[in-house]
Amino acid sequence: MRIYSVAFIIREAWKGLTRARISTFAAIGIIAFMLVLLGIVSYTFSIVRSIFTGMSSQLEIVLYLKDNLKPEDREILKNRISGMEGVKEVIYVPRDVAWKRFKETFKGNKFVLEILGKNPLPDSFEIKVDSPEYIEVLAKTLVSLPGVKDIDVPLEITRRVNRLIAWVEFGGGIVVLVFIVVSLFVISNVIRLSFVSRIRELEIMQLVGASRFFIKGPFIFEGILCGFFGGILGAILFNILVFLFNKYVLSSFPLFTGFTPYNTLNLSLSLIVFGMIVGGMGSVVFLERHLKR
Amino acid sequence: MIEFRNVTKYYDNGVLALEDVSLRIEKGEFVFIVGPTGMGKSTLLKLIYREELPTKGEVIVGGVNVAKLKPHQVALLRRRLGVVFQDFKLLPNKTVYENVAFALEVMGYSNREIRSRVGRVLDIVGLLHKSNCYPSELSGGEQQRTSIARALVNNPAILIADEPTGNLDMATSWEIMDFFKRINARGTTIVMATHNKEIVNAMRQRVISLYKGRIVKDEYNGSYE
Repeated sequence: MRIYSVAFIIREAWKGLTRARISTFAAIGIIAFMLVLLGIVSYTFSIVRSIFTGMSSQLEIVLYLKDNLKPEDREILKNRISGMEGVKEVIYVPRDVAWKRFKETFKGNKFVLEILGKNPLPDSFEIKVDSPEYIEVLAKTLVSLPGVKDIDVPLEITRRVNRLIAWVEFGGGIVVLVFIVVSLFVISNVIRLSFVSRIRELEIMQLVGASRFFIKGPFIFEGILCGFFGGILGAILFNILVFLFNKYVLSSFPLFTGFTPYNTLNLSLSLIVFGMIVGGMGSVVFLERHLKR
Repeated sequence: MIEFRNVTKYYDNGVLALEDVSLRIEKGEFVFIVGPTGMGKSTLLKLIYREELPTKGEVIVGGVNVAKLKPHQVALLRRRLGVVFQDFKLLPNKTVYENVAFALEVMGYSNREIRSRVGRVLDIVGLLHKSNCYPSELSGGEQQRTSIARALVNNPAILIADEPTGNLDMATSWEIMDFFKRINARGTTIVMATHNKEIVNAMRQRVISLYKGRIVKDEYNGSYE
């Protein structure tokens, strides 16, 4: 009996979907459209976020070492710093190398080089961090380590970048949330409206003594199917747009050269699942409104 | 089989539909509920199949108080009742066969069982040859016979009919009544609301007259003036 029941639900849902072709296509189209929008908003958000994080990964702390520091102590210090939380990489820059770089930078400026005469620079560590929010905390610890002469921290810029990232995440999060709510509303209403012509069917089902399972099953399944097809269509369109964007827009901006194209697979799958859930929800809203008892 | 105990029904908008109605309908009876439009006939029927609940009093169907049924029990109650309407309530996108089969499908019958039952009942109402027609391709009488077939396909103990001949011409109405008589003869209780005097007077069955929500007459072998 159960097999017949499940078969009935699937069959009825499919019939419902294929019967009113135009309204089904319209519903699927609107769902796809909303999901593409949602995808674009999420994608843009993730690009902006990764640009800012990429920018902040350029930030580094420079630790100047005391002149009399023995190589073995230096190694110990290096290992100690590497083990700290938030430290990504510690690079040792001997004073000769630093001087060479300096001379390279001021190649045209004989005056500066003449004043300085011979190499005034100390040995140093360049410390890269996982994320800019570690910089301030790390700086405090690093400066008090033995063998450290001085520290150069891009504090002001770090603070600014951190603040900016916080705002981007907050603002972007709100925009994404708003879009989720809007598409939730639109999609569930599209599904609900596509069922309005079938209130009579609902009435008759109740009249002939259909159990709630039998009444709800086909409608909910149909809503989920509708969301699924809308999701597939939306995901395809979204991926085409992302492909075109990466190919023609992203590649022509040098700002993005370090940016690895965001993987759209997860986002596409999320869009499909979201479509299915919201499609099912639309059916439930419809049933709650029109099922008596 | 059906019992009303001092039933009063107010609708949410404050309209009084039935007032202090008490009645008993025994198994196998054929009862007409008569009265002008808006006097509570449909409400009385709706209380039997639990489309509405009484404001006061009790409605007992098959030994159970319908107000106390849980949703899944309401479904079970409805399966023991067949309901027929003036406007047929057929699904326009399903054929005659599918409309009747639908009632069994939602109860979870097997395909083989459905085929044999639907075939039998369509034969009884004389529509076997129109199995594959859609409601729009049928006459009013044929549509009503389809809805009767749907009401009967599960062998209900009670058939409830709300103005079943309201949209039909006289000849077709007689055809339907003939049919009801035969079903009744096989033991099905029939409760039919109507304001068709000619039919009521010719059938010589029990007649309950409603006026402004009250029973004003209840006669066996009655008539409708």
